[in-house]
Amino acid sequence: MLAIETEKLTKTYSGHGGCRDISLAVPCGTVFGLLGPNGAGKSTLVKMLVGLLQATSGQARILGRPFSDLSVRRKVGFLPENFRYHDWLTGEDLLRFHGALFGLSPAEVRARIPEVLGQVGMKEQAAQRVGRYSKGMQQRIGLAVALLPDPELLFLDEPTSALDPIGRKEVRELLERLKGQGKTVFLNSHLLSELETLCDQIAIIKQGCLVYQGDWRELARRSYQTKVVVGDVIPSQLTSASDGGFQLLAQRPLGVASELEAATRSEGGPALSRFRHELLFRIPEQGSVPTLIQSLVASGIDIYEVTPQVDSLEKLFLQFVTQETE
Amino acid sequence: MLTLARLTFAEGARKRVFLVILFLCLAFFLLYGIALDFASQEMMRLNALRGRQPVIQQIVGNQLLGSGMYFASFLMALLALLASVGSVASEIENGLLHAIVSKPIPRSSIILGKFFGYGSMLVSLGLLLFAGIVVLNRLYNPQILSLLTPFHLVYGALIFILQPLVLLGLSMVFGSALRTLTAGVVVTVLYVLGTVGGFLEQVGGLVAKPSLVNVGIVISLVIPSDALFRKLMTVLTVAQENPLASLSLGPFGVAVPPSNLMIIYTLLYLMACLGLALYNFHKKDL
Repeated sequence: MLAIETEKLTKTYSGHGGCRDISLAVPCGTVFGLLGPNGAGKSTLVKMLVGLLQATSGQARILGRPFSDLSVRRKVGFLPENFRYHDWLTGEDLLRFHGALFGLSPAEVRARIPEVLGQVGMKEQAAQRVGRYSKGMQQRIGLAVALLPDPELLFLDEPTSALDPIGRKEVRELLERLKGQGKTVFLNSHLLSELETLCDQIAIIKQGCLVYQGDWRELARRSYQTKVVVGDVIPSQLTSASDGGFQLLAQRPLGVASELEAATRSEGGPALSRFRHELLFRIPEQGSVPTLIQSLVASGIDIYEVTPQVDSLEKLFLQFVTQETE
Repeated sequence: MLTLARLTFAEGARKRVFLVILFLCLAFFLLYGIALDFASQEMMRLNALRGRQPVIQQIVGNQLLGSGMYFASFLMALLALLASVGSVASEIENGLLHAIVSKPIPRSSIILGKFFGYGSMLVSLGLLLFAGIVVLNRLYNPQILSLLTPFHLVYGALIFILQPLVLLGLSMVFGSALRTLTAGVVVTVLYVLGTVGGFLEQVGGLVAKPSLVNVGIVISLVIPSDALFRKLMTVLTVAQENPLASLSLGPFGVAVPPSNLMIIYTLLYLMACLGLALYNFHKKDL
C-alpha cells in the first residue's frame, strides 16, 4: 500500500505560485525526502496533505483514504515548519492537550507521554513551561507532539532547523528507528546531507512542478564513474584504456606530487610526474571496473587505489534545479 | 470542541487584559459604591428637607443605574474585543493553529471551541458585574429597581451578556477573514458606530425627527450593541409599567425603547456571525 498517493494535486493562488499537477507515490515504510529550492512549492504540498491548505484541483490519498477524511489524521503526525505552541502550558500539559485532539483516551495519553518525551530527550524538561524552552527544545517538543499518536505516517517540515549538531544526530537516529519500525516519514528539508543519509526515495520540485521522484541512489548510479590512483604514468599508457571504451574524464597529481610534477616538467622530464596521480574514468556499467583495471595493468600502470564514484544527492539536486525547464 | 473550549477559557483567563479588566472591575465597584452612597445620602437629605422627591429620585436613580450598567457594558466590550480579536487571526499568523488544524478534528470545532471558551469567560465575568451593579443599586438606589421581578432580572442578565457575545461573534467573523490589526479596527469601528447610532436614535426620538430615528435603527441592525444597552435599561427599570419612565432621559436614558424583537434579531445575528465565522475558517488557507 502507498502511504501517500497524489494525482495531479494542484494549489495555486489566483492562478499563480503554489504547485501544479503533483502526482506522487510514497511507499509505506520509507523515509521520503522532498527537495526543491526556496519557493518551489514544497511547503504548499505538505500543507495540502495535512489539511492546512485547500487543494485547487486534483486528488490525494493518505494511508489508502481520501486526504479529506479526518479519521486518517489519527495516524498522521505533523511537525510544522513554523512550529509554535501554547507557551503558557508545560511540555506535559501541551502533550496532554494534543493527545486529546488526536482523540486518544486519557489512559493512552498517560502511557504515551513518557515514551515520546524519552524519544525526543525531553523527560527532564516536561514540567517546564513551553515559553521557557529554547527554540531547539520547542522543536523537540513539537516532534514529541507529532509522535504522540504512534503515527503510521509522519510529516516533518524542516525537523532539525533549530537543532544543534547533537540534536540533529539524535533526530536522525530517531528517524532511523522509526523507519526500522515500518513507519513512513515524509521529510521536507534543505539539509541534503541529512536526506542523503536517511532517505530511500526523493521527490524534487522545481517552480511548483515535480521534476523527479524515485530512488536517488539509483539515479546517482546512472552515470558510472571510477576513480583510480596510479603511480607514474605517461599519456600513451592511457590510450589503451581509452580504446577499451573507458573515457578519461579528469586527471590530477596528488598532494606534494603536483609541485614535483611542475619541477620535473620545467627540467624537461616526462609529461607526468613519477608520483601518484588520480584518474577519473567514465565506465559503461558498474561491472566494467575489473576490465578497466586489467587494461591499466596491461599498460604497465601501477594501481594503488580504485574507488567507484556515486554522485552525491547535492550534486544531483543541483543538476535538476539548475537545468532549464523543458 | 470541549478540549479547545477549556483551553481557550484557561488561556483567556490568563491573559493580562483579563486581569487588568478584573482589577478595573474591582476599582469600579469601589468607586461606584462610594458614588451611590453619596447620592443616597444626598437623596435622604433632600427628602428630609422637602419631603419625598419621586421625580428627582427617578431621574437621578436612572442615571446612576445607567452609568453603572454602561460602564460595565463598556468593560465587557473592551474585554470581548481585546481578548478575542486575535484568537483566530493572530494564531493563523504565528502558526499556532498549524499544529491544531492538522489534527483529526473538524475546523468547525476549533471556531466553536474558541467561541464557547471566550464566551463562557465573558459570561462569567459579565454575570459577576451585572450582579454587583444590581446589588449595589438595591442597597443604595432601591427605588429605581422597585418594579424589578425575577423574570426581569434574568431577562436583563441575558441582555447584558448578549452585548459582549455579539462583539465576540463579530471578532470571530473578521478574525477568521482578516489580519489581526484589520479585524480589531473593523470591530472597534463597528462598536463605535453602534454607540453613535444609538445616540442618533435617542436624539431623533427626543426632537421627534423620524429620519434620525430610522438612521439609528438601521445602524442598530448592523451592530445591535447599543440597542441592547437601551433594552437592558428598559427591562431593569420595567419601563412599560413605570409611570415615571418618561423622565428617564439623559445620556443613559431611553427615549426610544427597542422592542423584544430586537432580542430575537440579536440572537439570530449572533448565530449568523458564528455561521459566517465557520464558513470563513472552513475556506481559510493557513
